[in-house]
Amino acid sequence: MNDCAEFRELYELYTLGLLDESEREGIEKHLAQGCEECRASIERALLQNAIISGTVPLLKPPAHLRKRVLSGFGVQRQESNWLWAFAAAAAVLLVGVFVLFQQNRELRTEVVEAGRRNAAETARIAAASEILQAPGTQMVTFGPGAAPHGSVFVHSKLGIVMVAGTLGPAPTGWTYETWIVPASGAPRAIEPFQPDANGSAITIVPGPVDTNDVKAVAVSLEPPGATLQKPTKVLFAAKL
Amino acid sequence: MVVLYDRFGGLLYSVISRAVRDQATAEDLVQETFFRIWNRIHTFDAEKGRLEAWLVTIARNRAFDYLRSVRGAAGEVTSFEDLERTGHFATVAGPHTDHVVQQRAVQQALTSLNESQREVIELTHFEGMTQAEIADKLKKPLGTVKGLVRSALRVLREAAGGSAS
Repeated sequence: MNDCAEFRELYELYTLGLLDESEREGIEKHLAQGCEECRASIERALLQNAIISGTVPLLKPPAHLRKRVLSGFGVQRQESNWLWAFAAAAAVLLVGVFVLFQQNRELRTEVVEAGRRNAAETARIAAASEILQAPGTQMVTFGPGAAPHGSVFVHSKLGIVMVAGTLGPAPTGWTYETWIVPASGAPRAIEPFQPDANGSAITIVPGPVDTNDVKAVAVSLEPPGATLQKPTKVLFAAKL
Repeated sequence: MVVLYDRFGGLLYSVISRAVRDQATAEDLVQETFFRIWNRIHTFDAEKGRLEAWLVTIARNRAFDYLRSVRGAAGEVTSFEDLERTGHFATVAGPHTDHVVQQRAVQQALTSLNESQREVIELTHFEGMTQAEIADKLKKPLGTVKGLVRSALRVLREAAGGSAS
């Protein structure tokens, strides 16, 4: 059995990220030689995996999730009649393969235009997204299934992103504060924030991070006039 | 993003929920998934790829990355970021005319798998488990699990390939 035939058996698992190191290295060495046949096999495996994943029984997402996701883009407040008209038109157009092709282009256009409407928010989201997808970004999760919960992403050159959910509203006058907890020395207050109406928040700390010196990212509640010399009421600390 | 969410939000939520089995976590991951989609939409080539397949791939990868971080398996398996750097994820390719037929063929082939084959495919494709993790969970030898996975994938691959030819 030649390499291509042998590897073809593994590409679904390779593209799912489920191979062990030795199998993966063998494939990557082979791909580095520019095998077009295997590249095509990988694209077929990706599509097949997506089809299988798409056979999952459909659930109805909770109504608040739509609001939460869209408010994260600054889009929802700006929805207007033309946008709904566009959505209705797009729904009607969802007939047939060719029409889906057209819709793909319109969706991209809509995304681009939404971005133009709110450049500052877009820049913030882009910064967060860059950190989220950069190679080498470490991710830690905190409080899965509990409140609050979420994830912290750290990239040594790009910075830190924290995505948190189920944060209750801060008491009147109080604010949430993000802290960097170093391996030695006192925690440093980084960025105050307030969660949105759905209790979610995204904080971004751009810039290089000495990952060897960061032990955890923490969130606290701070009263009015807090000096921020140390956290007042720590809600959680995500250990890196 | 409104249209995108309304058209595909339910599907992506379902894919992620099936993997993580926790509503609050699924909601977090759906939000993160839409950030990733936003940031990468310019890389999607509508002429080469299927939007739905591309979105499902991003959502599933995000869920699997999360599961790995919870299981502490990071570094033991292929990183999706590594795969993305190779450009394989720029499109989830497939001519549109073939996709619907392929989809139906793969769905049909899934129902033709025997119980053991279907079980391992669900654990790999819906729950992101490695073959070693499956062997441990099912208390079966690793070689047996690998055989089941390969035979199941061969059935699915032939169904998809046959429908496309």
